[in-house]
Amino acid sequence: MKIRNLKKKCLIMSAVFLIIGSVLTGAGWSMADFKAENVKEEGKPKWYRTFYADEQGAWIGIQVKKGVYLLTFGGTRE
Amino acid sequence: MSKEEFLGSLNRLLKSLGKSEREKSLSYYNEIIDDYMEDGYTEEEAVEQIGSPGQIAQEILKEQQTQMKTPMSRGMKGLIAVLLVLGFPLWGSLVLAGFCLVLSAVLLVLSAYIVIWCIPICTGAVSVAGLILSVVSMGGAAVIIFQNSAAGVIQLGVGMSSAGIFILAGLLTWILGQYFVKVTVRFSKWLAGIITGMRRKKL
Repeated sequence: MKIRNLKKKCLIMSAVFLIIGSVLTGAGWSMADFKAENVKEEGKPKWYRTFYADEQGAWIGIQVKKGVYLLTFGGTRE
Repeated sequence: MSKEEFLGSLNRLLKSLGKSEREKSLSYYNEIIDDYMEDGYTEEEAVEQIGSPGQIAQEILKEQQTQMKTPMSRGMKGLIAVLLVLGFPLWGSLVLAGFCLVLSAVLLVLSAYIVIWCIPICTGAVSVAGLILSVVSMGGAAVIIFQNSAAGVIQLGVGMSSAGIFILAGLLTWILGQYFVKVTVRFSKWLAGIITGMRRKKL
């Protein structure tokens, strides 16, 4: 496989993933009526949940347990 | 062998000696040959009486070596020790300054390498984070979607976007890695050129 083709394919694939991801995120957000309380996590924190939204704002990341994060984008909870 | 040939040959063989030492030896053997000639020997005979220049040079060099190996007297050793102790503030600080200079040069080179590799390492870290996030998000979305459909769809979207970021950052890391390997090789060659140039100048 030619490297130039691989680069092109990677760029196209990443663009497709980013676009579909953005559309799905927008769709989910609209399903929640653009209200953070509708997507708020209930009960114990789950490690497989990566999207969090509350009154303080929204952030993306992996919370292993309360106060212990593997990686976060957009801030953490207190 | 004529006197001139003998002295020329001896001069060549004693090249490792200092100029004054060599001249002393040459004038000594010149006088000996002259003495033999005054006693009635021909030039060739006088030279023959002394021996071959190789043998004489060997003896002189051996003698010189034994003189150099003469052990230092106790007084001299003591004087050197006292001078070393008294001079410590001077030579100690110079040694320390030299060490610091070398250390700072090494650290400077190291920091240059770190700066060069900082960008591909950052993109690589973003790529790995994107991969982990996409796997966890997409796997977790399958569970969350049954508890809270909106949150599940958002998480699936986050997972897809993370996969896109993983591919994009990975590609960027690969391209930048290749470029920075070239930059590192060029920088190392330039550095090696400077060091070898300095060595040549010293020699």
